[in-house]
Amino acid sequence: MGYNVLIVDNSMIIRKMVAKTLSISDLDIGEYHFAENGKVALEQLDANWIDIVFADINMPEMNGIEMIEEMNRRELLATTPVVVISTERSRQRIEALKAMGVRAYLQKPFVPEEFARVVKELLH
Amino acid sequence: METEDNGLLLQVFSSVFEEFAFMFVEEDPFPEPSETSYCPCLLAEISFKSKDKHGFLEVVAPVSVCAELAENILGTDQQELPEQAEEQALTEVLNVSCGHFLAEKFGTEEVFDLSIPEIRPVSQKQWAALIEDGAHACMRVDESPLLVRFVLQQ
Amino acid sequence: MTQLIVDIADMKISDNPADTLITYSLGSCLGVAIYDPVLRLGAMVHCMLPLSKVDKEKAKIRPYMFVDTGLQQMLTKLYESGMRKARAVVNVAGGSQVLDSQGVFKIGERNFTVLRKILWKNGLLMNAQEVGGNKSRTVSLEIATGRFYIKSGGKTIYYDLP
Repeated sequence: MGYNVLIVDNSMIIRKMVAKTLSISDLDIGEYHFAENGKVALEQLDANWIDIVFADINMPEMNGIEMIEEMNRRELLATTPVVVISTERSRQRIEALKAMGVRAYLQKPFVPEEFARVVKELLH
Repeated sequence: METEDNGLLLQVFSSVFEEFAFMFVEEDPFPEPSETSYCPCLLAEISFKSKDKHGFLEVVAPVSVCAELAENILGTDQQELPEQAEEQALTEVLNVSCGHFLAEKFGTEEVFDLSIPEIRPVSQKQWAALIEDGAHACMRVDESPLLVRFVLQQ
Repeated sequence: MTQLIVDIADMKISDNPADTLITYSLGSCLGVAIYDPVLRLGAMVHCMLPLSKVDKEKAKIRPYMFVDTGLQQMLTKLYESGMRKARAVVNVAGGSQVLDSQGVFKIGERNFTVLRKILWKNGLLMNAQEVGGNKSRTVSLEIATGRFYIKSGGKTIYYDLP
């Protein structure tokens, strides 16, 4: 059984790009779930077993930071690994993300090979 | 817009187009305002704010360039592009470029909040006016023009 | 062991375990080796320029001169010979910053950008990549093992199958 992934980004282009990268890496991916903001992502996390979350920060309705804070408050979701993929460059914000338990931070546009390497390290 | 910003904008957009969409951007200091065969075009805008700064970054590109952006980012053919892929490709490129540009210009100590980018079509008349007003940095993606404007409102 | 030399703007393909494909002195040019470990099938191309649109006629006669047509054609040949995408191991070297005729260093970088474009479109990721800098590199691919060698500045490094 493969890893179930949730890809959270308001840009359909990025959701598709992340999914394509996962599908061509030699990772054992099970189900792909998608959400366009943090709120929809939490609904998806409630309804499905998700092994890893890939999330943007800057999204409408509920941004990535609010989503991670909410995940940390819930016992069942607090240990689900989150990888942030964002344009964020502020040192302070990136450190804050790490303090919140974010497992890896990738800057957009990410290099697919680097993305695959980071995810492999996290999942194995 | 300061002249030094034009150089930085060129550097940032050229690097983002190349890394993200495998397309090459060059400077085009003298675009022809009467040349409107590139239209229809799209204009995308993103605003930013920090403790003491706010402003916006804007990019205008022909729809054909946006379609190529989408094809390349997704690694797919034009006939397989999902709906609104052109708009989403341009706004995502703008979003990424804005993050890079602010970090290059102001460093990574300053914390910026970015808006969700907005996008609208630009008519032939508006396109010619945008070139003539001289407020944009003019660039070229392969054979097509690209206009970029950075505005800082302190 | 037989060495099959891949000339500039050329491609060689082999499934003979006695063969080694080799290309010499990659500067801004790119050397790309693709290998299927199940079939022990490999190919190597030596491309000079990024995009074929600069000379479409030449691209018809010498597709391997350009990264876009050269890599795509090499992939087609490999698929025709039975390679499966999921098994393909892609290794890349070259793309150095060598001064071009306009006095700029862009050719190597652009060769690599176009290579990434074609790989992404074909759904392939790179295994090893040694690109950029200002080195000259000689690369070879051992058909029996899939081992990819890069020789540069008197040193040789190699990458085994993942």
